[in-house]
Amino acid sequence: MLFELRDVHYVYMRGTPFAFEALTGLSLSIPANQTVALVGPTKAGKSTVVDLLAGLMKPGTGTILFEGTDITASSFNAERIRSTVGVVFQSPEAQIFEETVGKDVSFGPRRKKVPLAESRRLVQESLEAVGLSYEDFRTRYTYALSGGEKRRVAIAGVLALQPKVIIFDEPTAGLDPRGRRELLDLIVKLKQRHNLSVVYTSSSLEDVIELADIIHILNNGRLAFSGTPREILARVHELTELDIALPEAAQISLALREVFPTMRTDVLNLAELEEEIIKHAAEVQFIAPTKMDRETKAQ
Amino acid sequence: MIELSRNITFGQYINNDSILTRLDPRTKLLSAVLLIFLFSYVSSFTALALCLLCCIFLQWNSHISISYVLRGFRFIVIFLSFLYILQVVFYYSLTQHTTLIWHWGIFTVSWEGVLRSTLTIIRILFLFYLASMLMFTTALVDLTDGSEALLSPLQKLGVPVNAMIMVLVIAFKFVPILVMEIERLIKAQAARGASFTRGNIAQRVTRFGSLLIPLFVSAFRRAEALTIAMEARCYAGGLRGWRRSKRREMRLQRFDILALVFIITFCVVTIIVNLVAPY
Repeated sequence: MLFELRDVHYVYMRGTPFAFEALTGLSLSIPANQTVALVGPTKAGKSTVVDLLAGLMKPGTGTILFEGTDITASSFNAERIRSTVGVVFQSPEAQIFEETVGKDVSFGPRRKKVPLAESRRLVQESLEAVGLSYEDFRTRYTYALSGGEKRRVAIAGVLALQPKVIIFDEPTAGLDPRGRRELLDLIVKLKQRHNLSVVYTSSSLEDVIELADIIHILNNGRLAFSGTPREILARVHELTELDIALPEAAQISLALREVFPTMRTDVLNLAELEEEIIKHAAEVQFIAPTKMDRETKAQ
Repeated sequence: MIELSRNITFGQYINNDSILTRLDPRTKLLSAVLLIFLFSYVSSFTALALCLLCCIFLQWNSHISISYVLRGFRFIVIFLSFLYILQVVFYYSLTQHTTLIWHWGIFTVSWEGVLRSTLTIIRILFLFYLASMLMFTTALVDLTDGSEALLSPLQKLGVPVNAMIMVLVIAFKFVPILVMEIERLIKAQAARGASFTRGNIAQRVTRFGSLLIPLFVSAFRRAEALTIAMEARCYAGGLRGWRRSKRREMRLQRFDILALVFIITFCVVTIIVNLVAPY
């Protein structure tokens, strides 16, 4: 197991009148070399989990095991987790802080005291891995980049650290459909090429249904249920209760239940939906045209 | 590790429906101003003890936990102790006779110096307490409405009170936003290998320096967005004679008058005590 959370609690602004309990006894596990999605409505505690997994905060109570070692122990060195786990934060603006792309991407290697030539190679490789040309982007100002480019630069900055795990915190928020598609493809590509473990948080299932191996559904700082994408989609009613939007194909499938009551909702994509519809349509008898239909035809 | 907003309490409004939060903002502002003058004027320890009583009374009525209020003091205490040492060591009075306790080179510690500096520090602590209490118990909107109402005579003289208040409000409003921004930057840098909790003081300070440039950039960007938003909603603070109308009119209750009378009586008593008992 890469990560294992056991009964984790976290309170923000502890000891103030604004205290807010974000995690209320969360237990879940994240296996290595897989894509694990954390899905939940707002305030479910997703971003808190991200900060905990990245070693940026320590849990209030409960244990978090990272590759079998307890990170809450005082002897644990947070550097170990930070050199293995990279985070792409919710908004790329929060992530990019240097003036030029080259400087920003090389921030990690510089902090790690990587020699200059090596650092340059890392920056070049990382930029090219996210589909940005090194020569062109190295000297560009980060403030003048487009939304999609910023996200790519943010990912490159994380890749330059050569992590084994990358956490993506709602990376597609605010992107147009094309930018979203490209980003998801990029994540799949990076995972395969660098043999990464990926943790992906999202408030909707749309992004993760084809991407994830395992989906954990969070609600109110706790694990609601988890399973493979197919298992999750089968629990339509629980999902709607939690206000988690279904992916397009599953939504159509659910709506079609009015016509075909036995319709499955665990369809991952439109192709599967099509198959399902054809299968059901074959079972249904052809309904004879009514009088009104005949009249309109005659006209 | 990275939760600055927990420790920065200044400027937070706590709506706990205590008596102090329900007072009219004008009453609170007037009382605060009166008390600030009083606390700065008072010079005897007996009178200061009365001021302390006043603070305890306020604290008791505010229903805010003492530990939360004291948390805000943490930062200024470090700064004040530094000031205190400087003031004691370099105290020099032309008119007063000074009794030396200790001296080494240009550094001298005199009995009068210690006394004077202690008084100053106590005063600053009181003033900080008053200011933070005013913020804890008054919403920003009320604070502006109140100060605008109190300063409206100046507007007639051509002083741009409206605009000045707006500037103040925005400045206060930006404090928690900038704190959150720093938190985000620390997180982003820590996630990529920067460490803010290790190393000696000099190393830590330089690391915090690397937060300043992105912080300023984002602050300017926010300011720009705010200007556009204000212009889009027809804000015209610079125009002469322009006044924003209010949806909610403030009315002084009997309770407000009572509170004011109480504060004024307290001020008079303390001034008398201060005159009668010089120590």
